[in-house]
Amino acid sequence: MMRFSTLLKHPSDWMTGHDAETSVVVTSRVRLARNLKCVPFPGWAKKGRRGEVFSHLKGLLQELPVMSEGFAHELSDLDSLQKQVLVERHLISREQAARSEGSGSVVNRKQTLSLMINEEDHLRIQAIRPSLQLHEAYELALSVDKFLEDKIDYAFHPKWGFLTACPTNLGTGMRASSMLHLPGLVLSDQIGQVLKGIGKLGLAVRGLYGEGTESLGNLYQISNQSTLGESETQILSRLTKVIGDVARYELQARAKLLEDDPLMVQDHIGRATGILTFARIITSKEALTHLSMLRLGSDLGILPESLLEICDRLFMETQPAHLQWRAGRKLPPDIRDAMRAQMIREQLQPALPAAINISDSEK
Amino acid sequence: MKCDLCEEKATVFYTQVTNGKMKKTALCESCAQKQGVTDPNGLLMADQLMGMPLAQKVAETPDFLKEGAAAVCPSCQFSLEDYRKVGRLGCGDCYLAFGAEIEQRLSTLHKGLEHSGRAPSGLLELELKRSLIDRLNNDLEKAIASEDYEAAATIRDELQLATKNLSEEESQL
Repeated sequence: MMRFSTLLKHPSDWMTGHDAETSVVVTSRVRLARNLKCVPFPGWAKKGRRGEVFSHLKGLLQELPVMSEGFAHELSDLDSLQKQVLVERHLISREQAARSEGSGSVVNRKQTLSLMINEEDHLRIQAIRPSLQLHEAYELALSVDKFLEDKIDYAFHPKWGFLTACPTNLGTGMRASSMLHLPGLVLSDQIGQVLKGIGKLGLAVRGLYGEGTESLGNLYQISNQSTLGESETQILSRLTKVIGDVARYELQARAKLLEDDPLMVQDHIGRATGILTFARIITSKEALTHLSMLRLGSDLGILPESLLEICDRLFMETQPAHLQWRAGRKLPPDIRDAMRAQMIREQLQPALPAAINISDSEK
Repeated sequence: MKCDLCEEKATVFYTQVTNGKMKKTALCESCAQKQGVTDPNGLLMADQLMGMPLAQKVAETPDFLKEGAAAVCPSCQFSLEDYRKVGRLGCGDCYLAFGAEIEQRLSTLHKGLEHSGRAPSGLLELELKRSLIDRLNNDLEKAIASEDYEAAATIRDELQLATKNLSEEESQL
């Protein structure tokens, strides 16, 4: 079985190989909620019963060929920092991190499949793929679903479909989402309109980081809201079409910005580069904002292409728990900010043009 | 007025008000007795409910009030009140116990009220049987419309068999 440290040493499969395909749609994710027949849902089950479900499901899931050499842990075995790292990697949910006994996580080596046991439902099967690949992510999740359905009886009703702890997931139990980087729509002030339009189509959209309507790093997540009344394929196709449209608007907005006001775009990217290359103290909020501009610069060919993947890795690795885990201990915010600045400088150095790379001479 | 449960004349009328919603039930003497409505202890239900653990409340709720609007899920003892408070359910059977109330909410949450996605593999056969019944129903209508009564009789027999088959399987769900 893979250890926690091994899991973290390897970047997720979907975090690498970033190119033009992932310039707008960074990742696609599909989650299926499943429950066992005749067993109370995790939130209502007694501790002993939850433990039984955990052992039973964990045993079955580890039989999956794709899970060989995977990671499987009860959350109560992990400390709060380790749990937070898993949340930042999107391998477990924030809600699950708050649960402990009888709740656990099974992740494959490539980190493309993350199975949450006893979160809100007995099982949540989550598959992650890079770029706009919702159908592919669904197929991956479905392979686990099909493996299990011969071995356990799911809570299922012919009229209501898969029965879930919350009626918002009833039916397919499927939540599909993509993460999009939309700096062009934000800079050109069109984002509000686009988000409103998505809402009118019955889809949910929210900022990936930040509270409420605030979105840090110009990263947004679009997902289906309805899970009952439409088939999985219908939901995925509708979502894929809308997300594809939004990605096209974003590319148009970027092209138009560059045509109408190239100086403004270059200024934004240049300032972000300056701050990230020279700052000695940087908060995670500020880092996200500037990394977003760097990522845009790389997409537009103003900065080297290799920066794209570095930015995506830094988005995750500069998060508080990742930083502290790397340091091997809990750190106060001011130390984290200094460490974050240093880490960004070190990672950007090899990729940025020599003309503005003067951090070497300081040493 | 006839008894809600059988064909006898109703003599016992039971009205229950829950959260401002009234539910009326009419029963004949013998059904009322079976349901515990005429049980002298039953009349003191309100008193009894106040100081009793959840598990016992279930036993005190007459069966005829349970369908889709039970106060407590018979399988896991999760209560309708809890659902109203947290918006979550206790187990899969809660959907049957509180079905009436949950359905009201579904239309605001979802595009449709009926599942049209995937079913676990064993249940796929069930889907096939259901579509067979739909098809036979169609055929029967056509046969009757074209006054082909011989064919209609054959289809009717097939339909009866298929329906019986399906309801047996559904009851095992």
